[in-house]
Amino acid sequence: MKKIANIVFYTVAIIVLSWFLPWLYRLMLPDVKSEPFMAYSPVANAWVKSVTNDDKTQEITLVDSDGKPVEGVLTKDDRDSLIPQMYYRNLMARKRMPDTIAGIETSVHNLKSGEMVLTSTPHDINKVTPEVFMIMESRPERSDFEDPEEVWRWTADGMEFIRIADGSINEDRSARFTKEMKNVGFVQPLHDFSANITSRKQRDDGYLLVDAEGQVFNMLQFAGRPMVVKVNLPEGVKADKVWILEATDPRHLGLMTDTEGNPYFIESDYSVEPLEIGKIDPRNERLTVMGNVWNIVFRITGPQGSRWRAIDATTLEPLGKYDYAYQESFLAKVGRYIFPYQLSFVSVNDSLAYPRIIDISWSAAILNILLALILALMGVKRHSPHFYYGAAITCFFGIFSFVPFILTCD
Amino acid sequence: MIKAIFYKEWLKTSRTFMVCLVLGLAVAIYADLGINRIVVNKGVDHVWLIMLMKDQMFIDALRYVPLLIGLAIGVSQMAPEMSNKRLKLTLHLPISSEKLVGLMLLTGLVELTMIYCSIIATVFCYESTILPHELVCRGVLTALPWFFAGYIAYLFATSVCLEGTWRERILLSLIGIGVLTVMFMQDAPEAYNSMIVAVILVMIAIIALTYRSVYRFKEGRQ
Repeated sequence: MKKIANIVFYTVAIIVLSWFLPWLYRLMLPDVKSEPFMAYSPVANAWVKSVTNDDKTQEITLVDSDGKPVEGVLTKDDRDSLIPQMYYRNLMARKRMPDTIAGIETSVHNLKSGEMVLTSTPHDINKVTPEVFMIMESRPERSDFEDPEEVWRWTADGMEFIRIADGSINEDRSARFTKEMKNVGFVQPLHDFSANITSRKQRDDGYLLVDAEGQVFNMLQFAGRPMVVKVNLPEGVKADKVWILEATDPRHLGLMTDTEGNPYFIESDYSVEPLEIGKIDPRNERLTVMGNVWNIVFRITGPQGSRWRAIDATTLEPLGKYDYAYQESFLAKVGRYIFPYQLSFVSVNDSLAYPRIIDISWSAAILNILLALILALMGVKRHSPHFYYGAAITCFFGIFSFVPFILTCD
Repeated sequence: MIKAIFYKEWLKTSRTFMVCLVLGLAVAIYADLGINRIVVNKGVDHVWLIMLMKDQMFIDALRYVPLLIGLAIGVSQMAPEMSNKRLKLTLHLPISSEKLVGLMLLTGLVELTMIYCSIIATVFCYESTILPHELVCRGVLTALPWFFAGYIAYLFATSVCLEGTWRERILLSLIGIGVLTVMFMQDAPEAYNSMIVAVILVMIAIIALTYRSVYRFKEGRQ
């Protein structure tokens, strides 16, 4: 029992230090990652790149559509003129806004109607979601939307609608929706869903649902009745992740990625348009979509860096690309020589807590052996097996086992 | 003898147990009243909406209560054993030290379980009258790591109190803080679902630390 107790003590100490020491290292020596701000200019057909320097000054340059830098530095006035989709208020106030750009009228109404914003983070995707879902009335009696009065859940028999006010089941609506879902061929269980449940919007496009077979459906509640439409996917394409857009321009109903990571726009006529922006892994990469009347820019950020892809807002043809890779900082490199691995219980990529070993580093082997030698020499000097055990374990766990063994020597 | 040991442990912890039970129930009722106030002012649909859309479970007041209760019970049970080294007398009772420590820990763990069950019943029985079972279960699973943290705090408190040297006490305390920090790292609902079995295993393993302190005490490391 005494041996077991000692094993537990050192095991718990090593686990705690495997998390604590790297965390403390990062806390005391923060590693700041910054990246440029990129926007695609409909005027120059090139990227406008803004970088904030260490002295807080801003450096604005042009980058061609292939991602190669163009010589010369731009002023803020130049930038405003080059990306009118962002600075149109400034340009209009100074009467510098042209009537048309790239054949498109530059009225405020026109510019606003082309705006589209979508943000998806792995943190929001990789989480445990409740098994009940709110549903809005897409055609309310009054002009304004109201908060949902019912939620739905899946049961073995189909959909079940629950009245929030008293928790009772709405049998009629449950039967109607279940029948409609069966009619369109929805296969349980639900794989993914997206909806924007808020009364502060101009239009409700309901839910985008992905079923067990990768089929996509658009489900709405119209005057209390179900409206479910199957999205026409190309042969062999199975959906994995969907996002409802509800942009001002109703042309695009949503965005989806298939099981291979290929992105598509889901159009309002329930067809899909493939996007030539490369694969996306939404469970590990952050996705930001910024659209305007001229172009749509996708920013995809992963652990290694960011990539920007611009497509034409009308034809969806590729316009430009730019890649930015993160550089490993000096502090991170030093950390690799100190810690043989790092233990983390949380991640920026999910909302879950579980142990995960990251950054396994063979570079720390030198320090491991050095620390093990120190313990072994202490064992020789004090004739204590405590240090011999410590030395053997330190060969693998390095500083994480050295600390408890050195602190518990009597 | 077993009954006598339970009675001895109850004598040490009865006051703390009652205070902790009242404190736990008071916080649980406070959490219920907080939800009820929203139901009265904005309607029950607002509670559902916030829970489903904002990942808010309305039980944040409970977060550190099980931890404090675990510490209080652990200290009130084991600190008297170390004053004037009474543990020496306890270890001379005609029962094996393993069984003795086991019974002492069992008393504390049963008391904690009674308090924790009362808190869970108070909060979630009320919630089950206004929420579907999915959301009630979500609340229980969200709060579960906090109650596990209470047990872990209790076990570390007992091992620290029974440890004879200050250096090891400090080390055990630091390790305990580290383990407890893990239980409060992620705020998202049901974040610890995949770790529940591992946490239970760690809890069981940590019982050995109390035995380690007693063995060290018996070896004269004081």
